[in-house]
Amino acid sequence: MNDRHDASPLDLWLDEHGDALYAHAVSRVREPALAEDLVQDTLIAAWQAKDDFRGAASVKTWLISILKFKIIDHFRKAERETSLDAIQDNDDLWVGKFDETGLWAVEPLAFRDPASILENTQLSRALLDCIARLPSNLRSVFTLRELEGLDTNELVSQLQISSANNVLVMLSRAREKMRLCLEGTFASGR
Amino acid sequence: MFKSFIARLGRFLVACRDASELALADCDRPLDRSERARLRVHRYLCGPCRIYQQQLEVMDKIATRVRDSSAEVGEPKLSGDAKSRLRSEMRARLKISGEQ
Repeated sequence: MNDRHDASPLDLWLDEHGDALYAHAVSRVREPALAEDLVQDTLIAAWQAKDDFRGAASVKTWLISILKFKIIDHFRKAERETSLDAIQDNDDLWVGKFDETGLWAVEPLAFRDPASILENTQLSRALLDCIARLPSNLRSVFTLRELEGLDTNELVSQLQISSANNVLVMLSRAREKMRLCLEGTFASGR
Repeated sequence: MFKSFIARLGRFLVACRDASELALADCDRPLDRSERARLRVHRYLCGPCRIYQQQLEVMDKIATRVRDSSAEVGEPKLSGDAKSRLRSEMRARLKISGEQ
Protein backbone atom coordinates (compact mmCIF):
# COMPACT_ATOMS: atom_id res chain seq x y z
CA MET A 1 0.00 0.00 0.00
CA ASN A 2 1.30 3.42 -0.86
CA ASP A 3 1.39 5.21 2.47
CA ARG A 4 0.30 8.80 1.83
CA HIS A 5 2.31 9.94 4.84
CA ASP A 6 5.40 9.22 2.80
CA ALA A 7 4.37 11.66 0.12
CA SER A 8 5.69 15.19 0.37
CA PRO A 9 3.27 17.77 1.80
CA LEU A 10 3.23 19.36 -1.63
CA ASP A 11 1.79 16.21 -3.20
CA LEU A 12 -0.60 15.71 -0.34
CA TRP A 13 -1.90 19.30 -0.51
CA LEU A 14 -2.25 19.16 -4.26
CA ASP A 15 -4.15 15.86 -4.13
CA GLU A 16 -6.39 16.74 -1.21
CA HIS A 17 -6.96 20.47 -1.64
CA GLY A 18 -5.91 21.27 -5.21
CA ASP A 19 -9.47 21.14 -6.56
CA ALA A 20 -10.86 23.37 -3.79
CA LEU A 21 -8.06 25.89 -4.31
CA TYR A 22 -8.59 25.82 -8.05
CA ALA A 23 -12.38 26.26 -7.72
CA HIS A 24 -11.82 29.22 -5.40
CA ALA A 25 -9.29 30.79 -7.76
CA VAL A 26 -11.41 30.25 -10.88
CA SER A 27 -14.41 31.87 -9.21
CA ARG A 28 -12.32 34.99 -8.59
CA VAL A 29 -10.18 35.36 -11.71
CA ARG A 30 -12.30 33.41 -14.24
CA GLU A 31 -9.27 32.27 -16.26
CA PRO A 32 -8.33 28.59 -15.86
CA ALA A 33 -4.64 29.04 -16.70
CA LEU A 34 -4.31 31.97 -14.32
CA ALA A 35 -6.16 30.04 -11.62
CA GLU A 36 -3.68 27.15 -12.01
CA ASP A 37 -0.80 29.61 -11.62
CA LEU A 38 -2.38 30.95 -8.43
CA VAL A 39 -2.77 27.43 -7.06
CA GLN A 40 0.87 26.76 -7.83
CA ASP A 41 2.02 30.01 -6.19
CA THR A 42 -0.13 29.21 -3.16
CA LEU A 43 1.28 25.73 -2.67
CA ILE A 44 4.84 26.97 -3.10
CA ALA A 45 4.25 29.73 -0.53
CA ALA A 46 2.70 27.16 1.80
CA TRP A 47 5.68 24.85 1.36
CA GLN A 48 8.05 27.67 2.19
CA ALA A 49 6.02 28.57 5.29
CA LYS A 50 5.14 25.03 6.37
CA ASP A 51 7.24 25.20 9.51
CA ASP A 52 5.17 28.19 10.68
CA PHE A 53 1.87 26.32 10.34
CA ARG A 54 0.80 25.42 13.86
CA GLY A 55 -2.41 23.64 12.98
CA ALA A 56 -4.72 26.17 14.63
CA ALA A 57 -6.82 26.09 11.47
CA SER A 58 -7.34 23.20 9.08
CA VAL A 59 -4.80 22.81 6.30
CA LYS A 60 -7.48 23.71 3.77
CA THR A 61 -8.36 26.94 5.62
CA TRP A 62 -4.68 27.80 5.85
CA LEU A 63 -4.13 27.18 2.13
CA ILE A 64 -7.22 29.21 1.19
CA SER A 65 -6.00 32.12 3.31
CA ILE A 66 -2.68 32.06 1.41
CA LEU A 67 -4.56 31.88 -1.88
CA LYS A 68 -6.56 34.98 -0.92
CA PHE A 69 -3.33 36.95 -0.60
CA LYS A 70 -2.22 35.64 -3.99
CA ILE A 71 -5.54 36.78 -5.51
CA ILE A 72 -5.18 40.24 -3.98
CA ASP A 73 -1.62 40.37 -5.35
CA HIS A 74 -2.91 39.41 -8.78
CA PHE A 75 -5.48 42.21 -8.86
CA ARG A 76 -2.99 44.72 -7.49
CA LYS A 77 -0.46 43.89 -10.20
CA ALA A 78 -3.13 43.85 -12.91
CA GLU A 79 -4.46 47.23 -11.90
CA ARG A 80 -1.01 48.77 -11.56
CA GLU A 81 -0.71 48.24 -15.29
CA THR A 82 -4.11 49.71 -16.12
CA SER A 83 -4.01 52.76 -13.82
CA LEU A 84 -6.96 52.01 -11.60
CA ASP A 85 -9.16 55.03 -11.12
CA ALA A 86 -12.87 55.72 -10.97
CA ILE A 87 -12.50 58.33 -13.72
CA GLN A 88 -11.44 55.57 -16.10
CA ASP A 89 -15.07 54.45 -16.39
CA ASN A 90 -16.90 57.43 -17.80
CA ASP A 91 -20.25 55.94 -18.80
CA ASP A 92 -23.25 57.78 -17.48
CA LEU A 93 -24.54 55.09 -15.20
CA TRP A 94 -28.09 56.38 -15.20
CA VAL A 95 -28.57 57.39 -18.82
CA GLY A 96 -31.98 56.30 -20.11
CA LYS A 97 -33.08 54.85 -16.79
CA PHE A 98 -34.83 57.94 -15.41
CA ASP A 99 -36.99 60.66 -16.90
CA GLU A 100 -36.21 64.35 -16.56
CA THR A 101 -37.85 64.46 -13.12
CA GLY A 102 -35.67 61.66 -11.80
CA LEU A 103 -38.44 59.04 -11.77
CA TRP A 104 -37.88 55.61 -13.32
CA ALA A 105 -38.22 55.63 -17.11
CA VAL A 106 -37.45 51.90 -17.25
CA GLU A 107 -38.55 50.26 -14.03
CA PRO A 108 -36.44 47.51 -12.48
CA LEU A 109 -37.78 44.00 -12.99
CA ALA A 110 -38.67 41.99 -9.92
CA PHE A 111 -36.65 38.82 -9.47
CA ARG A 112 -38.84 35.77 -9.49
CA ASP A 113 -39.19 34.09 -6.13
CA PRO A 114 -35.94 35.25 -4.46
CA ALA A 115 -35.95 32.30 -2.07
CA SER A 116 -35.75 29.77 -4.89
CA ILE A 117 -33.29 31.96 -6.78
CA LEU A 118 -30.88 31.62 -3.91
CA GLU A 119 -31.06 27.85 -4.17
CA ASN A 120 -30.10 28.04 -7.81
CA THR A 121 -26.39 27.45 -8.48
CA GLN A 122 -26.84 28.78 -12.01
CA LEU A 123 -27.37 32.17 -10.47
CA SER A 124 -24.01 31.96 -8.73
CA ARG A 125 -22.49 31.28 -12.12
CA ALA A 126 -24.46 34.19 -13.58
CA LEU A 127 -23.03 36.45 -10.89
CA LEU A 128 -19.49 35.37 -11.78
CA ASP A 129 -20.19 35.85 -15.50
CA CYS A 130 -21.48 39.35 -14.79
CA ILE A 131 -18.38 40.13 -12.74
CA ALA A 132 -16.27 39.01 -15.71
CA ARG A 133 -18.06 41.56 -17.90
CA LEU A 134 -17.28 44.51 -15.62
CA PRO A 135 -14.58 46.95 -16.71
CA SER A 136 -11.24 45.81 -15.31
CA ASN A 137 -11.00 48.41 -12.54
CA LEU A 138 -14.55 47.77 -11.31
CA ARG A 139 -14.03 44.01 -11.52
CA SER A 140 -11.02 44.20 -9.22
CA VAL A 141 -12.77 46.36 -6.66
CA PHE A 142 -16.02 44.40 -6.70
CA THR A 143 -14.33 40.98 -6.54
CA LEU A 144 -12.09 41.89 -3.66
CA ARG A 145 -14.96 43.51 -1.79
CA GLU A 146 -17.70 40.98 -2.38
CA LEU A 147 -15.82 37.73 -2.78
CA GLU A 148 -12.75 38.29 -0.61
CA GLY A 149 -14.38 40.55 1.96
CA LEU A 150 -11.94 43.47 1.90
CA ASP A 151 -13.28 46.67 3.46
CA THR A 152 -13.00 50.13 1.95
CA ASN A 153 -9.73 51.03 3.65
CA GLU A 154 -8.16 47.73 2.65
CA LEU A 155 -9.20 48.36 -0.96
CA VAL A 156 -7.60 51.81 -0.86
CA SER A 157 -4.30 50.42 0.37
CA GLN A 158 -4.21 47.13 -1.52
CA LEU A 159 -5.20 48.57 -4.88
CA GLN A 160 -3.53 51.93 -4.27
CA ILE A 161 -6.66 53.92 -5.08
CA SER A 162 -6.40 57.62 -4.37
CA SER A 163 -9.20 57.87 -1.79
CA ALA A 164 -11.90 55.96 0.05
CA ASN A 165 -14.45 58.09 -1.74
CA ASN A 166 -13.16 56.84 -5.09
CA VAL A 167 -13.56 53.28 -3.86
CA LEU A 168 -17.17 53.99 -2.87
CA VAL A 169 -17.89 55.53 -6.28
CA MET A 170 -16.39 52.52 -8.01
CA LEU A 171 -18.33 50.06 -5.86
CA SER A 172 -21.59 51.88 -6.62
CA ARG A 173 -20.87 51.78 -10.33
CA ALA A 174 -19.95 48.12 -10.16
CA ARG A 175 -23.11 47.24 -8.23
CA GLU A 176 -25.35 49.08 -10.66
CA LYS A 177 -23.73 47.37 -13.64
CA MET A 178 -23.99 44.02 -11.88
CA ARG A 179 -27.64 44.60 -11.04
CA LEU A 180 -28.42 45.39 -14.67
CA CYS A 181 -26.47 42.38 -15.90
CA LEU A 182 -28.29 40.02 -13.52
CA GLU A 183 -31.62 41.57 -14.43
CA GLY A 184 -30.80 40.93 -18.07
CA THR A 185 -30.03 37.32 -17.29
CA PHE A 186 -33.38 36.86 -15.61
CA ALA A 187 -35.33 38.74 -18.24
CA SER A 188 -33.90 36.60 -21.02
CA GLY A 189 -34.96 33.47 -19.14
CA ARG A 190 -38.60 34.46 -18.96
CA MET B 1 -50.78 71.83 10.38
CA PHE B 2 -51.49 69.89 7.20
CA LYS B 3 -49.27 72.32 5.25
CA SER B 4 -46.50 71.84 7.74
CA PHE B 5 -46.81 68.06 7.42
CA ILE B 6 -46.63 68.30 3.64
CA ALA B 7 -43.59 70.58 3.85
CA ARG B 8 -41.79 68.17 6.15
CA LEU B 9 -42.74 65.23 3.96
CA GLY B 10 -41.47 67.15 0.92
CA ARG B 11 -38.03 67.42 2.47
CA PHE B 12 -37.96 63.66 2.80
CA LEU B 13 -39.15 62.97 -0.72
CA VAL B 14 -36.38 62.27 -3.17
CA ALA B 15 -36.50 61.29 -6.81
CA CYS B 16 -36.00 57.64 -7.72
CA ARG B 17 -32.59 58.46 -9.14
CA ASP B 18 -31.44 59.91 -5.81
CA ALA B 19 -33.02 57.00 -3.94
CA SER B 20 -31.09 54.56 -6.16
CA GLU B 21 -27.83 56.33 -5.42
CA LEU B 22 -28.60 56.19 -1.71
CA ALA B 23 -29.48 52.49 -1.94
CA LEU B 24 -26.15 51.79 -3.64
CA ALA B 25 -24.26 53.87 -1.08
CA ASP B 26 -26.04 51.99 1.70
CA CYS B 27 -24.29 48.79 0.56
CA ASP B 28 -20.85 50.21 1.33
CA ARG B 29 -21.11 52.93 3.94
CA PRO B 30 -23.46 53.80 6.78
CA LEU B 31 -26.02 56.38 5.67
CA ASP B 32 -26.55 59.38 7.94
CA ARG B 33 -29.90 59.81 9.66
CA SER B 34 -31.27 62.19 7.04
CA GLU B 35 -30.26 59.95 4.15
CA ARG B 36 -31.68 56.90 5.86
CA ALA B 37 -34.99 58.64 6.60
CA ARG B 38 -35.35 59.96 3.05
CA LEU B 39 -34.60 56.56 1.58
CA ARG B 40 -37.03 54.83 3.93
CA VAL B 41 -39.88 57.24 3.15
CA HIS B 42 -39.19 57.05 -0.56
CA ARG B 43 -39.20 53.26 -0.54
CA TYR B 44 -42.43 53.21 1.39
CA LEU B 45 -44.05 55.23 -1.37
CA CYS B 46 -42.29 53.77 -4.42
CA GLY B 47 -42.81 50.19 -5.67
CA PRO B 48 -40.04 50.21 -8.31
CA CYS B 49 -37.52 51.37 -5.72
CA ARG B 50 -38.57 48.53 -3.44
CA ILE B 51 -37.87 46.17 -6.33
CA TYR B 52 -34.50 47.87 -6.85
CA GLN B 53 -33.70 47.26 -3.20
CA GLN B 54 -34.75 43.64 -3.50
CA GLN B 55 -32.40 43.20 -6.48
CA LEU B 56 -29.47 44.59 -4.50
CA GLU B 57 -30.29 42.33 -1.55
CA VAL B 58 -30.51 39.21 -3.74
CA MET B 59 -27.21 40.12 -5.41
CA ASP B 60 -25.60 40.51 -1.99
CA LYS B 61 -26.90 37.12 -0.88
CA ILE B 62 -25.61 35.40 -4.01
CA ALA B 63 -22.21 37.03 -3.55
CA THR B 64 -22.14 35.90 0.07
CA ARG B 65 -22.94 32.37 -1.03
CA VAL B 66 -20.18 32.39 -3.64
CA ARG B 67 -17.75 33.83 -1.09
CA ASP B 68 -18.57 31.13 1.44
CA SER B 69 -18.67 28.16 -0.91
CA SER B 70 -16.91 28.88 -4.17
CA ALA B 71 -16.29 25.18 -4.73
CA GLU B 72 -20.00 24.67 -5.32
CA VAL B 73 -20.04 26.96 -8.34
CA GLY B 74 -19.81 24.39 -11.08
CA GLU B 75 -17.14 22.58 -9.07
CA PRO B 76 -14.32 23.07 -11.56
CA LYS B 77 -11.52 20.60 -10.92
CA LEU B 78 -7.87 20.37 -11.87
CA SER B 79 -7.39 17.79 -14.58
CA GLY B 80 -4.91 14.97 -14.08
CA ASP B 81 -2.61 16.60 -16.62
CA ALA B 82 -2.82 19.91 -14.81
CA LYS B 83 -1.93 18.27 -11.51
CA SER B 84 1.07 16.52 -13.07
CA ARG B 85 2.21 19.77 -14.63
CA LEU B 86 1.80 21.70 -11.39
CA ARG B 87 3.63 19.00 -9.47
CA SER B 88 6.66 19.05 -11.75
CA GLU B 89 6.72 22.85 -12.04
CA MET B 90 6.55 23.25 -8.28
CA ARG B 91 9.33 20.75 -7.74
CA ALA B 92 11.45 22.60 -10.30
CA ARG B 93 10.81 25.97 -8.68
CA LEU B 94 11.54 24.62 -5.22
CA LYS B 95 14.49 22.56 -6.47
CA ILE B 96 13.19 19.43 -4.82
CA SER B 97 13.01 16.02 -6.37
CA GLY B 98 10.98 12.93 -5.66
CA GLU B 99 9.47 12.19 -2.29
CA GLN B 100 10.66 14.09 0.71
